[in-house]
Amino acid sequence: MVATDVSKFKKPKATSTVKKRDFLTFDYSLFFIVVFIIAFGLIMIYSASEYSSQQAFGNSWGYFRRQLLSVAIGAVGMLIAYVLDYHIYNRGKIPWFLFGFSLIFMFALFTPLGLTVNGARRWLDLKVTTLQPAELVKISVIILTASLICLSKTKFVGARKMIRIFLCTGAFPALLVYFISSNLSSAIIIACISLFMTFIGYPGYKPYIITAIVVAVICVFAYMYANSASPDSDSFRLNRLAVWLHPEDYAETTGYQTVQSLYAIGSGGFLGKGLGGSMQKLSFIPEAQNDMIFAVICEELGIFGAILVVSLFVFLLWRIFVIARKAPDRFGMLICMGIFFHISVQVFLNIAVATNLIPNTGVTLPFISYGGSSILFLMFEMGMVLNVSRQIKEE
Amino acid sequence: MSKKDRIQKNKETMLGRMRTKAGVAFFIAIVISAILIIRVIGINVASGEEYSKIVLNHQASTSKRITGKRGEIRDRNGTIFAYSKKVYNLIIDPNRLLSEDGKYKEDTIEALTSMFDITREDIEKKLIEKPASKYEKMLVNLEEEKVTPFLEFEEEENKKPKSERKNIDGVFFEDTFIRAYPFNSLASDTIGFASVLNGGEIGLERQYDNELTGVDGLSYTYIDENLEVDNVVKQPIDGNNIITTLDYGIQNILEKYIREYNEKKPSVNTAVIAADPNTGEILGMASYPNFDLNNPRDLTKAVKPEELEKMDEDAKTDALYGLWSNFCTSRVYEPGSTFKSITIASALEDGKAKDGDKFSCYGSKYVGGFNVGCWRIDVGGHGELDLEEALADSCNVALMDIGLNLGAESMVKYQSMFGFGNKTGIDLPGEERGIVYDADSMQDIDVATNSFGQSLNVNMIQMIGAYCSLINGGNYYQPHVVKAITDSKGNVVKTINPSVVRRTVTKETSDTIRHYLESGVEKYAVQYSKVEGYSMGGKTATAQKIPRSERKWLISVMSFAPVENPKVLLYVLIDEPDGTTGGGGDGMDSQYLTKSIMTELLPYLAISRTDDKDVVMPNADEGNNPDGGVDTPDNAEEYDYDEEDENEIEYYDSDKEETDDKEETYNEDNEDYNKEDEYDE
Repeated sequence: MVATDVSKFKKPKATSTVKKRDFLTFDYSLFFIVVFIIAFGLIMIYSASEYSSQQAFGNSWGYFRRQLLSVAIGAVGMLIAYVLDYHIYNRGKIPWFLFGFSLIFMFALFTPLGLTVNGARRWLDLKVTTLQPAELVKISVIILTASLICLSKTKFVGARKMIRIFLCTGAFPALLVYFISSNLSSAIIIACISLFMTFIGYPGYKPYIITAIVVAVICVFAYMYANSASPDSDSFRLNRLAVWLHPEDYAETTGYQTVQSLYAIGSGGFLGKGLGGSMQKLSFIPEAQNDMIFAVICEELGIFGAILVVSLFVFLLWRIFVIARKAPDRFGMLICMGIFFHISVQVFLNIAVATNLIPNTGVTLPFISYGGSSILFLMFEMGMVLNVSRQIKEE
Repeated sequence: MSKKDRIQKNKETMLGRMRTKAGVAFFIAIVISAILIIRVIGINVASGEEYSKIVLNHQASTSKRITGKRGEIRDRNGTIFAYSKKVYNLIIDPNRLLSEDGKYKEDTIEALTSMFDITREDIEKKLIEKPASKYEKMLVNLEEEKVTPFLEFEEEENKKPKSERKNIDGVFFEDTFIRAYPFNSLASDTIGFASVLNGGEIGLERQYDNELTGVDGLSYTYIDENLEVDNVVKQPIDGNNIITTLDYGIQNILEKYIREYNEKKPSVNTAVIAADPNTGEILGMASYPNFDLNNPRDLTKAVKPEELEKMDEDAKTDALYGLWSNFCTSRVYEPGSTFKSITIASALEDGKAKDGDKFSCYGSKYVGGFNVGCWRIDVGGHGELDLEEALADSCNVALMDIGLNLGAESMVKYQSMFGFGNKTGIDLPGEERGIVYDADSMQDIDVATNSFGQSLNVNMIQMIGAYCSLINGGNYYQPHVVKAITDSKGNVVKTINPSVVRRTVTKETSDTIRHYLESGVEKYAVQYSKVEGYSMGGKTATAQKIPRSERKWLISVMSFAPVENPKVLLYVLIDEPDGTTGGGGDGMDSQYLTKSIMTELLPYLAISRTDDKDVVMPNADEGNNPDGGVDTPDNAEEYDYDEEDENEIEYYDSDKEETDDKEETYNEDNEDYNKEDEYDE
């Protein structure tokens, strides 16, 4: 009863704000940086896929055209999200409904709709287009986590409650994604989004500092173990660690992608070889337009390009952070921060893989890597953030 | 309302705290971003150079070796014995032919089929099998004359306006080299041949492989920054040319007479070397059987077809290696009486003999339990004779006396000084060193038989080297077959000057030996080698091959001209000449062959005739030969018998009566004669 009271109380206030304000009043900086990143991404996809597109489509713009189409659909999604009041996502059982819906999509991978590409069952064939259900899970996790944290009527959410929220919205869907589609990177991203959002909601730092220390210690032990283990070990995971530590030793096999990526980054110099000048994209880096696009950027635009890309994302994150801070309520704030974490985790993981800071796991670079589902949901998320920015009360 | 207010206040408090935490999150994000940028810079700084090189290598998408042209082998006057010929491989580019809706396909196929020995089906099959390929080899080893018309046609068509011209493209030629030997089998053992895979296989081709082989160039295509395919060619460096000491004319003379002789009387082997005694340069070197350098693996000429059919692969390989081996450097044999000059020169040097020394020969000498015979054993020996006659008339008994007087130690020392038992170091592969005794293990019988050239093994080049020094005044030159090395443009890179390795004998000894040998040609056993009108010296040898019971012979003649200041040394050797087996045949073959060769060789070398001179003059010059007149009739008689001119050594037990034995064996062998003949064929 109380919960409905809250929503009744909030709703008219929020709607009245929107109505009073102009339709075009939103965070222009965020909008333009998103447009800029997407445009940059399209250019880089054209450049990176020029060669592989020749192989696949017989022309140089095959991948570029498909991505352009995805961006167009994404723009529609972004507009819808911008128009839709974000409080809708928190209305009644909608967060749970979205969450359940996305998990059902995950299970749909077992049906004949499931599409297996390169041995991984990650796509749903929707006849019109293909869809990665894991992307849908990410956005629903953001909404559900925000919603659950907002249930609190006290000044804080207790640790026990936070753990329960994390187990429900982080650990559970992550494991599900991992076991259904063996997609470790998506599982990690989902878990991280949920974990970091609870960090925002939780009043203290202690459990998170402890978690960080434990993770760090595990990493150090894993590092030492991998260093001492024999390289011809049968274990797949251990092998993956060994490849991470000495990619050159596996340059012809499992370390190929990493090594080629390092060659590309290292050969770029400060200003790179010029746009379109990458040699490594000529079939040396597998799927240069995809997970390893950062390596092509470094090769073509050099350290300058790397700084540019990271700066663009920092600026984007800063705008999302600013909107989150100014958000009129906790739900808006948490939605923004969830999206903040979604983007930042993916950017950092992608670049860390490309530079071999962490073992190889397939993560796309948001807005820039080729991939329809990813850009569609990211642009929808940007629409949500822009909607939040519309509702900021002037002080 | 207060409850609602409280809740609202709680929410505000919580929101405020969350804002702080968002700030923390953003700060961490900035830190991580900084770490990532530092990492990118770190990779560039630490490995940038190395990685750039690796990536540059990736650019070279295809690379191709361009073979440098192998150098030529020429004779001393520039006649080419071996050269590399440029030929072309026809390559088509199916990807290009099928591009632009197959615009080039029809016209190009039409042009190709009309100008080359290639069918439309071949090309179309390739286009279907490998449509994306850019390199398909269609024809190999095309001569330049075949290729030029096509290239000219293509050029002409491209000059025409677009509407009229035929669309020719996607065809190119890559050049390569094949090795050619214009004189086929001439000097085959010496020149040798080269294969694509291994380079020089035998002979000079192998010995000088490093000089002849050029430095390969490289052609590589890479994709430049505009994604254009670029081609970079690093030109190859052609190999050096080898100028041999061989003389095409002399080589030709040698081989002509070897061939003529063997056509009449096939021998197991006939080998001839002509050398310049004043430099150690080999002017000509040939052995029979030889082979066609342009087709070295062909056995059909050397082996009869019915025998070839019976041979398995191993036998064929053995036969090929036998054919390829250079008798002159790689076979060792007992030299026989030509070695007597060495023994006498050694004794003269050692002071153990001097001109005019007297010897008595009664047909044989008993040494260390063996009765060793002289060739005149049947007529009771040479009787009294002096040192000159001992050499000129080839007396085994006198030589054994000289040898035993010289002693094992000195004999071994001089043999070594003359180069026996060691490789001469001639610049040809596969030289055999031969076998000589060392002083400690030498018994008297070994000293005795060594003195006339039996029970030791030498090769022909060792004999040439030793004789050169013996007749040129005592300078031992290293025998060699290469005079100079030039680069591909003809600039001399290296000159091989004759070098005196050591002194063997004094000028006096050399003079003495030369005149003794002249005496042999003028009056004694070597008369049949004499070319009228020229001053010549020489020594024959008839060595019995081991096992002695088979009665197979190896006959040879060492001759030179003119006697004063010799210009040429000729060594003719026939291994198992037809008819000598069993002793009933013609042991004179080596002399006849020498005479034939010398008759043409001496005028070729522009050696002045001595017709106006008294031929006995040089002999008279020696002055101190009182017994010469006594011996001459004996010798003349001997030649009338047409007997073998050389010794035969039998290691029979001394109790046995040697003469009877010999007679019997001869008869037996005569009966077997036809059988042997069949075998040889």
